[in-house]
Amino acid sequence: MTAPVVSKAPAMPRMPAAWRDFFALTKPRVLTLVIFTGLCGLLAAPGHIHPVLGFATIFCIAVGAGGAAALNQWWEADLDAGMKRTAKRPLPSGRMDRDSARDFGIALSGAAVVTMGLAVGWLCAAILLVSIIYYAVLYTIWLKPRTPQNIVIGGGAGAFPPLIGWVAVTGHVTLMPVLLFFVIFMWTPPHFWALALFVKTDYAKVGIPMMPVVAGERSTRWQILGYSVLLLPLTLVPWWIGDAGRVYGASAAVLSSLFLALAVRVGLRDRQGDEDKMKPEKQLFAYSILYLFALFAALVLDRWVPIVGFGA
Amino acid sequence: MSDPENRRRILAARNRALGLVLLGFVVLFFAITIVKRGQTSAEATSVALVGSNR
Repeated sequence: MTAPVVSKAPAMPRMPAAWRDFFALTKPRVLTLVIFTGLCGLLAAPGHIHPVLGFATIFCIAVGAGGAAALNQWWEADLDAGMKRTAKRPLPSGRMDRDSARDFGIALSGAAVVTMGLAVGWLCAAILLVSIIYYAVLYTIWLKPRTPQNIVIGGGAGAFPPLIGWVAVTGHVTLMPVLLFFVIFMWTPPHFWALALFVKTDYAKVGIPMMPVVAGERSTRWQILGYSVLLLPLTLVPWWIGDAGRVYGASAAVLSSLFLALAVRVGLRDRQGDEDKMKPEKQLFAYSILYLFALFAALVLDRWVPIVGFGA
Repeated sequence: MSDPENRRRILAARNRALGLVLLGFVVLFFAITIVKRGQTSAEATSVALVGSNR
């Protein structure tokens, strides 16, 4: 296990960290996607859950993800200090000491798992705990500094929310929530590698073996294309097996085809020198976020807004 | 703003935020308890009704 490098930031900052710094540790922007996909899993599942317990489920997913994000930043404070994109975070900028971040992350994670167990059920709590360990330990500590496949396997951490939301309603794991898990799992590499292509210099600087740094841009572009090709049929499976209706099926076909079209542009081109603005890569990254929101929204609409003659 | 004054302001804001979070947890646990108790008594009632109909 790689020990964290001693931080260049002061061991104890001159001022106590503000509550906004603790909030920033939870990566609020990432949380919006986590909350949304978790809520969609909950709303798309067959069955009924009391609104208070539904709220508790989403709350625990968000708090658990926030705790995992805090633990991630605790471990990676020195790497973050070396990258322009992350240098202003509370730990690398010296606004917070490391122990506070670690304790905050453990407290949030523990509170989320226990509350989930008491409110919704211990199966959901166990899946939430696995997702936190998956992100904070398997991805952050073990995979990320070791292999360029870090994003592929580590992407599973972000795929848990819809699974937890679904299981909170049904009480058991079935094929459909597992499919939702794999949709996000398959979406993560093209989403993240598109970003890694245009911030490549940052990852190279701190020695993180991201795919573009280790395997080169050409290989990364082929792999973005490969995962996008696989994503298209995968998103249609819920409709093929009859667990989702035509509203979802049509939306998935259109959204995933557009995703593939953007991925083809990225996959078949090469960087045109240092002046290249990397527009296709930035477009794919931006669309990939919108894509996931739209795909899961379609899944919920499919269940809650049956259209006469069009719904399943 | 002086350092001690700034420190006092940051800590006061942190304490308020922590208080709100704790209050939120109390309200959430209260609501969860009410719902769970409601569900338990509903299940007990249905079991009793099924038993009395036999």
